[in-house]
Amino acid sequence: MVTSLMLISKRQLRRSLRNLSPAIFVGVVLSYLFAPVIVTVLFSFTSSPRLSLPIEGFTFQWYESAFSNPLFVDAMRNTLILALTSAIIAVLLGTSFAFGITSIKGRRRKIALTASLLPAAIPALVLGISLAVFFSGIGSSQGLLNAAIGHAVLSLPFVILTMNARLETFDFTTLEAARDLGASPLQTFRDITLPLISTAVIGAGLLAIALSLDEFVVTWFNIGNEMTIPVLIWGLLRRGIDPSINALASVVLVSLIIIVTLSNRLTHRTEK
Amino acid sequence: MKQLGVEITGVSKDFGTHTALHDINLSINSGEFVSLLGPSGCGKTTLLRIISGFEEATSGSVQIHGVDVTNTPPHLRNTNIVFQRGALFPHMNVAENIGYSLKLRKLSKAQIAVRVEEMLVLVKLEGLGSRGPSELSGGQVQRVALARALASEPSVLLLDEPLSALDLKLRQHMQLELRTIQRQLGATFIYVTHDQTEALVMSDRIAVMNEGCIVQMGSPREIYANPASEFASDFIGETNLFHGTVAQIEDDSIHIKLGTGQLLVGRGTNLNIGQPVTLSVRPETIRVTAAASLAGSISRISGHILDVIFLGSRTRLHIEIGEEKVVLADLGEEELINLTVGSNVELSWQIHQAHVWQLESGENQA
Repeated sequence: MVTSLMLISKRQLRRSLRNLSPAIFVGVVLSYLFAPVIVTVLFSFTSSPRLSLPIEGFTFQWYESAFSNPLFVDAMRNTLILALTSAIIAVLLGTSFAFGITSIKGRRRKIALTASLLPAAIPALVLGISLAVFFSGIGSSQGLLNAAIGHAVLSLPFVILTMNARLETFDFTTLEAARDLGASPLQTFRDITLPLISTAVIGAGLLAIALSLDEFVVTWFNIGNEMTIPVLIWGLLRRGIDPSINALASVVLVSLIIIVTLSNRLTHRTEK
Repeated sequence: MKQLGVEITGVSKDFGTHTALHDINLSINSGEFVSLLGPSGCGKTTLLRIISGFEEATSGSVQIHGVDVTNTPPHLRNTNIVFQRGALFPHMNVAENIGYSLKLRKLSKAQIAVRVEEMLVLVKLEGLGSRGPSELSGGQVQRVALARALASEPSVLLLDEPLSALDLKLRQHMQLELRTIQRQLGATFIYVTHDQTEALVMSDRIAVMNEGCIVQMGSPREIYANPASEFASDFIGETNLFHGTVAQIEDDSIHIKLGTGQLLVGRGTNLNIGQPVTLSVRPETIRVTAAASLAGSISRISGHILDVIFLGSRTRLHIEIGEEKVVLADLGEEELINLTVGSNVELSWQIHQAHVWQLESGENQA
């Protein structure tokens, strides 16, 4: 009786160890992934201007100094303009494209889809330089619009992927049903298509905004003298690490987390 | 006084090099229940889509209630479809789905509510108006789809295999209910199906389709008793097919000689001596008698019983008549006396119950 109990407890111990080891491994990988980010956020609140552990005191002064930087307001405005403009371009083009390829069948559809996703694998450096060369070739001077077009190219594959996934479960006979019941093509779009794809469209748009917010390379090659938050951070970095950079980075980080989470919620919501 | 419902004149449809419909002519009376019956790929759905306006005929015309609608887009045609899988709008509840066509016609909220309620009563879904489509069973989805299609009182209701996704019991129940609703409303129903039982149960008339043509049009009884072709006899109900050549013609009784030398008799027209033909005879019209009790006759063939299968109201015999040819015969209880597996038997039938046609080229030469 006693021995059998001991046996069980030994076996249980071994089993709980075996169950624990994957958990430890997962923990190590996750901290490798997140440690730099956590450090950045922590240092944005430290009262010491030197970046050294342990953290001395708690302060918002770096946020204040970041936001009071005269360049900040300008950079923020441009970042938002870029994000919104590029997201609108990408969503309009990507959604139309996703609808367009539903009418193609079989292998040709796969080829069209893969080709549209390929730019996501092109390094941003190559894309940034190519766009800059292209724009100067057609005589377009650097500026916000060029950067916005560049951002749209970057986010377009992700928008297409999102919309394509939505349309794979889309029952196109509902559109015929609406037409059959007396709806014009425009009414069908307004009453059926749009309500059914709106969450996916918003989700894809948020994803495009998130991709644009922290984009640096393509922006740098195409924006000219204008400033965005990533460009501002890069400029500040050249003058040495300053805790206000941590504050700016944390702001970008938190907005990205919120946007990406929201986007995921919307695009992965199970359709009724 | 029959009023014209749908008139299809010389409609053909080509998809590239493939011809889906060949010169279809079809008149459907107002208030009639007509089924388009045929195997998949026979063109029945294409024809339905041409009537509804979702496909354009390559040639020919479609008239509904005497008005030519050949070039009218689907939303301006007074035809509504009940789709195979309902195609309910997932973001609208049952009442909104049913009321959608009325909303488009700019009826007041109160008028729509009244009509939606009427429709819910008609399809026996009272009280389910606020449910979402995802909260409905398969049968309920099809009821809502029916109510939605009927709400705006279309001149023609088109049903595209609406029961095919349901299980057998529910399907049989819905068949009778559809029939009742159709009679109650006096509406014109065009029903596409590949299920011959469904067509037989519900239709006033059936258009049997094969390879883009209407091969026979008539009441279920007519088509069953007097199939116009080997295809029609084989597709609707069960039948025994024999292939042979014409040996003798007496008035309208045709004697045909099988490969085995046996002689069969049936009815047929426009046939010549020596021509290859098919004879079709239904299992329930065959008489089976013990071999010894009968003298030889040209209308009889002999064989032995391979199997006896009890089917409840009747019993099916599998009878081998040589060269591995097995004939099916359905008998009632009282005819079964002395018939067991291995018995030698004689088969006979009334001449008018066996149909003879010229052999169809290519297919079905089993």
